[in-house]
Amino acid sequence: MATITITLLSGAVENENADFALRLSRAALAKGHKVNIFLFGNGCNLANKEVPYSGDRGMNEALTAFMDTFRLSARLEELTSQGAEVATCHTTEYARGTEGCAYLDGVERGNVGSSLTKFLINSDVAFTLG
Amino acid sequence: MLFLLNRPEPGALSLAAGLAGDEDAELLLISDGVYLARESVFKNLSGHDFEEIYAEAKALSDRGIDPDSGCEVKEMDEIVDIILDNEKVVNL
Repeated sequence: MATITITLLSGAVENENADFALRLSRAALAKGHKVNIFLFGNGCNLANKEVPYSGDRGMNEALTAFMDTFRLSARLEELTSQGAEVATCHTTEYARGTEGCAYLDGVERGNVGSSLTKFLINSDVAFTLG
Repeated sequence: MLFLLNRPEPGALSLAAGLAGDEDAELLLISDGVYLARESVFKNLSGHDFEEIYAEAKALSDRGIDPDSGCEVKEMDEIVDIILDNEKVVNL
């Protein structure tokens, strides 16, 4: 069993990096490997519980279905339930005003100095996607 | 050493040789990077001396791209093995 650490710099919609990282993580876990994901920069926008809007969204079903393909919260929680370790950088959260928002299940508040360092020194392979 | 490219900009590959040094270099095209797997442009990658060039299967399928025969199409479970085999991964 190997350990892979991904430092993810991208959020959900800006490109496909987050989707790629989650699909890669799922495949690695399925093969019996360990996965760490560090949510850094815009990646920290993946860390939080969704806040549903209760009013009229003004989106038809087709648009809603399309935009739902970019929402990754459930997939990230699925990974943590399967053993993936996911930590954020609280400084990048602070800069985005999200530091106090509730985390998805299994996501931990973290930082570069301890969380990412711990991930890196315990990894067989580590790389950045951004 | 495995290089990841997620955009159709072959100019980014000019960094690969210097970063790889004496190590064998492989290239994995992901996301919009798979546009470089098209037959009409794939030949432009030949000057970069990659041992292997891969493209992610889903990214190709999502874009309806039929890759050049020199490009190996890989599913995600195979990509996990490629990443672990290379040990060093650089996102260009």
